[in-house]
Amino acid sequence: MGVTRIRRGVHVLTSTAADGVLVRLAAERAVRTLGWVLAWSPADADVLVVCGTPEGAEADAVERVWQQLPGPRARVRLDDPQDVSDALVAAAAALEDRAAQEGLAHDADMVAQMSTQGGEDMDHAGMDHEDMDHGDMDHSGMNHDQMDHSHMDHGGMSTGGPAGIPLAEGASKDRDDLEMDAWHVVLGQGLPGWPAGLVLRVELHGDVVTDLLVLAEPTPHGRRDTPVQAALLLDAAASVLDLAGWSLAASASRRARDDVMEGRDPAEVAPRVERLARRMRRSVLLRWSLEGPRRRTTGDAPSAGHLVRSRAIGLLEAAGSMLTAPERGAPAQRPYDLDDLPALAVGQELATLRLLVAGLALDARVAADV
Amino acid sequence: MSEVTEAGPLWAALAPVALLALATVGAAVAHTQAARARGEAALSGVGLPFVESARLLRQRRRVTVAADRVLWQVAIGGLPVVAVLMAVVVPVGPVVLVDSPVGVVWFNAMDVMLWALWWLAGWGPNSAHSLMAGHRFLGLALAYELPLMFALTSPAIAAHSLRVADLAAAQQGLWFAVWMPVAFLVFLGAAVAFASWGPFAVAAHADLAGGVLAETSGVDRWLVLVGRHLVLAAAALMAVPLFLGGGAGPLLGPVAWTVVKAVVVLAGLELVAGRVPLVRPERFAEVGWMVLLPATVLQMLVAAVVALGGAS
Amino acid sequence: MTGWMGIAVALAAALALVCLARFVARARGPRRDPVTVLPFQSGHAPVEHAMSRYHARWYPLTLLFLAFDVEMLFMYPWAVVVAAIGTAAIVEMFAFLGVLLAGVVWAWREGVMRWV
Repeated sequence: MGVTRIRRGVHVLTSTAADGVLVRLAAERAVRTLGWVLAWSPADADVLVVCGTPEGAEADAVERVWQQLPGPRARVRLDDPQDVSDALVAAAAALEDRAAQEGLAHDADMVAQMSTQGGEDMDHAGMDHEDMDHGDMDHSGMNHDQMDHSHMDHGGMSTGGPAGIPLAEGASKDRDDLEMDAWHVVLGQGLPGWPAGLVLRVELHGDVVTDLLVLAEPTPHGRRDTPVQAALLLDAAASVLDLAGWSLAASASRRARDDVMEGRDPAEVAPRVERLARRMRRSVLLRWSLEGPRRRTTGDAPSAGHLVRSRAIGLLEAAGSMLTAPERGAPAQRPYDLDDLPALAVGQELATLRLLVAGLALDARVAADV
Repeated sequence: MSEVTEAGPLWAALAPVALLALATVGAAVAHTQAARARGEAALSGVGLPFVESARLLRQRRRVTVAADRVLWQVAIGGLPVVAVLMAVVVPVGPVVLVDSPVGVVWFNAMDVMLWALWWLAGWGPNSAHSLMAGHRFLGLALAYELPLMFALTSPAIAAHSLRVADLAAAQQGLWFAVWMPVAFLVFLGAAVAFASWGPFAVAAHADLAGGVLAETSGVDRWLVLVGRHLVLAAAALMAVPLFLGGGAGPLLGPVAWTVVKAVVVLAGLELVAGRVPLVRPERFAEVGWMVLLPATVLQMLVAAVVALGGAS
Repeated sequence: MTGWMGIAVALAAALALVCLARFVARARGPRRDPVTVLPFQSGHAPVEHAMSRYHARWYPLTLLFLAFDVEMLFMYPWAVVVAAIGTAAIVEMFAFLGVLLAGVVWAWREGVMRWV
């Protein structure tokens, strides 16, 4: 192996722009072969790998995620799958560079000062407020535009919450007709198993989704080679399995994905994929965990859980058939689409929404089938 | 009354270190399984608990804006401390740190402390993902706690005592695990649940960006993760006198047998991780209350009838 | 009495271990003070504080739990004496448990255990 020993167990957070999906696959493969681990949040990460070129609001979000890494930290931006291994090794070396880390820690403290005193950071917060429903916040007599400006000018202090962040307030009755606080969470990059380019704003009562807004939608790609497309389906299946908690099966799906991307004979990988699909279909616990105790009666509209489970199995089956018979190249049928998300997810837990999004396999979406 | 001697305060001072050693074995098992699933060599995960510890102990801590720092710290430091307190009533062979006449109740009281700790770990950081995970844990706890209490009571009924050493001594003929399988399995499942581990890891799972761990870094994160393995280790240790005959066994001494049994149970608990999907509280509530609760009550009835038969 | 002593010493030792870990981390880490960050929302600033009136949909279960938990106060002492007192103890306790379980079945039918 290499001359110097590379650190083990480094935790890596990936942040993927729309053009960076294949780079992400390469990065995750390198992470695995180095014995490193994929992080679940910035707090968990040593290295931020930015795949592709984020632009505009997405670039701002990447910057903010970067400032949330605790340090020692390193960031690499990658455009070419070929560069991945060298870049990761360089990042591991940067983690050991005391002087550089001292500088980064200083940066983080400067950013912290600004964000807690309502400086530059709150401007972004103001920008993020567009098309948010402010419900009955206490700015009666102001229209929404003015309110956003008041946020920016006073760093949000006018709403009276600590650190310039307002408190959640009761926007409407909850489903049990009780007055509850509605609060909002933005779901986007940095979340495990999240597709590139998608940003959602979710309104919640507790952890129940009450409203859903697509802030940014990923652009579909042109058609790809069959094995790459199969690898992307395996990647999406791994995301669903990870979120469902079956992480050993997720690892198996990722290894099959990596083998395909390494150019292993697809006919060799296909039986493993089919075996995994079979295991999923047979798993009583997976069915129970996702669908609940009740079987679907015919004619019933499928619940979110039913869709997630059948979709996850469908992803693996489609990948398997693409690997065994590339000439057929059958893309997986999507039983629901991004437009169906609000109808499916409202009334469900946030965790179910996460599963639904992962099941969409947006990273694998090709332009032809939209 | 079975003979156990209380070890002196010096041994009590070493208790956390001993439990940490056991927990390290557990963590190594879990890391090995995960590393093998990623395609690494068979034993490559053994060193990972140390690699991970070194990484976290030199990572910077992080606090969120307007966090409840006091309660957050109570939760973080509380997990390892409560785990140690759980274990002090467990006899290791002929010695025990605290020979309490109500050791079983003490263990129960400590496991209920974990409700507060996991929830506070979610509340502290003032972060959406963490808070949801903390609340979700309580939803699960409501379903596992009562079956666990009845599972703890069944061996006590059979032994006519709440002293843990008496429970171990009462199994000279047959292990409680053999004729109280329901109580044994419920105890193991609840142990996984109160450590928020494996299929019950609702407080710290990927679907909420790591849940209570979403904002935690550095030594804070280390304490939570270690605390979790310590809780599993304490539960595995408790399973030995409760269900597996304590230190009884051929050839090896009682101390060795206690350790061997605890390691086997602990390995089983650790290996559950990743093998089955997450059990969500809203699914488990029905099972916990309508299946496990009546089952453990029946188990207790069996224990009571057998105890009566033995006494008359 | 020695029992409490053992618990106190183990508690102190566990706290000492936590402090030791903190001390090691302070000595080895890049900075002693923590970095202050905004809570993670995928690179977006939070719109409001997370600490709010939370819609805990399992709240009816807490009432059911409370009924049983109070019952546990009787359960532990009962467990010690059940063999000595005999059949009467078993009949009384399980009749009591039966009443509580009837309550559980009622709550189940009311849908307390399903909240999605």
